[in-house]
Amino acid sequence: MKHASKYTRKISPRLGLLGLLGFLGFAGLATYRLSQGFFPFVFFGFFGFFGFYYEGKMSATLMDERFLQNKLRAERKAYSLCGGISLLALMLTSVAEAVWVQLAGALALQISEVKLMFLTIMLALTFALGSFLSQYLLYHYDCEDCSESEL
Amino acid sequence: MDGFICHLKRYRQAKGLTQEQLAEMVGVRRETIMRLEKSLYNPSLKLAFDLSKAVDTPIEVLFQFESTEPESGL
Repeated sequence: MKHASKYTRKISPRLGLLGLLGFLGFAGLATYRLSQGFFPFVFFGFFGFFGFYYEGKMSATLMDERFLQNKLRAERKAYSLCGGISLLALMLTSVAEAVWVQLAGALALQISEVKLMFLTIMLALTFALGSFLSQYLLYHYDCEDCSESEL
Repeated sequence: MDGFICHLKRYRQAKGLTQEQLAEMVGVRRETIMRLEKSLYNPSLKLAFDLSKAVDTPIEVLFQFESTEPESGL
């Protein structure tokens, strides 16, 4: 019985350290003061690279039917959570006007700027969470009893 | 369908196969065989069929499902 085997890509768990690039997102605070630009907030999305750690731990693994089932289960859970958070962030920007007015006053900014900043940060973090969580959950589901061996 | 009992371990050992060898024969990982033997993983029909052929045992002997649904008298 021969099967066309498919393996996960081979990467090092050390690539997970790239997740530290997510801290570049804080540069948005500085650039906003200098040039009113808050593009660097999207770098918070790099926190998702921490998922490479778990992907690396499962690198060159045979993707059998249980693996594929677990992958679907992990992605469904991660992306539904991210969808929920994104929706919540969108709802928060459209309601609770009094809170935004107070926040804008405290930061000495316009309400639209505060909302845009909030949405940028939330979307970047949600992207990071989705990337990380899908890998983490896959590893968690797949290795529920990795330590046990019985021949 | 509440659960199932898998007798794979007994028939695998009778055939003199290790989990690793059986896994290779049916194209899955050893961890999958391990979970199957503990009745923690419900395999696809294709995998169940491949396992049945690998250990020369009828599929209905390898896997026994505990059904709670009332049987129809057809």
